[in-house]
Amino acid sequence: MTNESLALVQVIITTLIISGTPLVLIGLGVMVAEQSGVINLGVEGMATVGALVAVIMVLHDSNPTLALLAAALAAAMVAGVFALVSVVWRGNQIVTGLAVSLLCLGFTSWLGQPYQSATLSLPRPSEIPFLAEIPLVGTIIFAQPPLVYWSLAMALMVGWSLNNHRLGWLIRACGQSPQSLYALGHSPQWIKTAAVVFGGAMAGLGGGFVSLYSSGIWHAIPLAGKGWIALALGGLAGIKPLRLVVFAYGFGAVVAGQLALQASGSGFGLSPHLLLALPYLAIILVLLLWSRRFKS
Amino acid sequence: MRKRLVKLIITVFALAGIVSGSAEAIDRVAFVYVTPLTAVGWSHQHDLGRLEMEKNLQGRVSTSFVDNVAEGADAERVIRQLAQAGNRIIVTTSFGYMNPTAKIAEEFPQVSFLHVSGYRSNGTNFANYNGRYYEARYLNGVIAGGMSKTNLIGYIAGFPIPEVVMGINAFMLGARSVNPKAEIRVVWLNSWYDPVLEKQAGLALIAQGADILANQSSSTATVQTAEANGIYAFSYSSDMSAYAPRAQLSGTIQNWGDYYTAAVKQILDGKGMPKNIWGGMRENMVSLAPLNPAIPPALAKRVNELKAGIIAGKLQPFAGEIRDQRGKIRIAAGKVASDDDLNRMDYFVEGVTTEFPK
Repeated sequence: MTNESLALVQVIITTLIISGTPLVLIGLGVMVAEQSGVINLGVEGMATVGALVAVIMVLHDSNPTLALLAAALAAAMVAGVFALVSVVWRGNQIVTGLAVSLLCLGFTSWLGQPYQSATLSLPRPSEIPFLAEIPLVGTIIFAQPPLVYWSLAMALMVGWSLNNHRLGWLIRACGQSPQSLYALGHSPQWIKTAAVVFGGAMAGLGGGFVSLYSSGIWHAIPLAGKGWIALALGGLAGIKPLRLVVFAYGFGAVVAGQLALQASGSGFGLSPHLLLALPYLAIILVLLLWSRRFKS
Repeated sequence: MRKRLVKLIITVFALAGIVSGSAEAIDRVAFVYVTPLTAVGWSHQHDLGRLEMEKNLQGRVSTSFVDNVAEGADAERVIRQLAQAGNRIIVTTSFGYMNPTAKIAEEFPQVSFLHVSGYRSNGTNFANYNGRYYEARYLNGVIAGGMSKTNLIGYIAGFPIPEVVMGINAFMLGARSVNPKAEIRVVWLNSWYDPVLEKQAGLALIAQGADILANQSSSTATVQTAEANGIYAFSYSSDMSAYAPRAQLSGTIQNWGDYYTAAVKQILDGKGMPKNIWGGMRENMVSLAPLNPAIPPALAKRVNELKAGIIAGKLQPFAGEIRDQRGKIRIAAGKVASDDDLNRMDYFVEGVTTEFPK
């Protein structure tokens, strides 16, 4: 392999991890909330709040871990408000969720103005011993921000919990048949609220990941719709987080692939509109194949 | 109840209009920006122009702005409100504001409208203006051609519209004028503002061996990516050396202060609408960002000579013979591209290896 194609492969892998991880993080939260019976259209806004909080923390000399925790906490608080209105007060989920997203986007643009474009200087993530020494790709795959590995561990946890643990069963029962939960003496409202707040915290982490690692700067509307994509992927994956990981990384791979194709000078004169629609086309294609599999 | 509230609001607005109208002597000028007002970039440059104009015409005008106004229905509502609120002049600073501005100009003949980057005007109260950014892009290209070791320049851009294509071509012509091996590869973002994608595009280009980046995508991500990866870049719209002190070689800067001062003064003096203008470096609507000390003195001298040539009108970046990337002659020897040619530019010149999108 020539140096250039090796470098390009490394950029593709990095880009797909960097684009896929926030989708995994946000998507896991979406998945849990959705299983409990709440479709959280506020995730885009919650993630944006996380993105801003993480930036502010880092600019005030916080370490990235603390910044991400603060991002999760802030977004979880927003999710708490959303849960209060949509679950406890039984407001319309869809309208409330959209309102939360729009409000958060507006507020963060406004509050974030002083931090616009500020460069964040983060410590280089440390390499995982031994694994990082694998030739060619080791330093790329095993020297990512810790949140990348954590998100994958979390996917396993959520999957195990939803499928094999009482907590996961309660959450799913809450979404499918709240009456039976009542019968068992549980409060569906509390379970839904907890699931939504968990989803908010995950969205905050996803947003923090975007501003700290994807762009490395603060700018208004940093998620640029990733929350909505995660909403679709998280719902689509049902109770199988590994499916979510595959979707998210697949989406990242198509983004990375089209950029690499353009940068290598072999875009075949394809319209950029078409190239950039590719990730979305891929999602639709996957959906189609999936639905056919279920039918047969 | 709601009706009453609406009436009340209308009354308050109307009163505000009358009050400010009766206190006249000072005319109000309002600006509409498409993005949130940020520390650098397109809207920021217009805001600098607004402040400069206000300072130059102190005592005669007061100004205000509305930022983050989406193109389309939102823009029409905001522009109409500004007209109703008694502003004498309204400046709308995004291409997509053109049609709403034209429409409201018909409804409010007593208000004057200035619109940047469009092609419509009505000769009575609606004029347009724009900059020849390609002039400074050409000079950026000369610097890039002289500084590149790998001869590969990465260019990150929003959409293939003529203004962007013109900039890429001018950059290429400048680079080839000093370095016949220079090559440009373009990565399209399909967005005017997506710093995440912009950074990833920059990394992909660097991986391909690009050692210089240029962009037309409104954020600081390109120069910051260059700074973080030890290569060079050019800024667009604003000077971004604060974000990339080592990486920024120069850039293409937009200045609107002189134009706003002259145009507003002309209208307020009762001398009619300003003519439609496509101003360049000569009018100081476009300028070259400060040169990085890393540029060798001989190259810097040459760039400054070329700059003087452009300002004097002696050097035209789009002077023939210019061939497109397939070798077809687009501008014959001895000819200079007309403004119409430029505004319809639908090809890449020789040296751009990315195929022109169909």
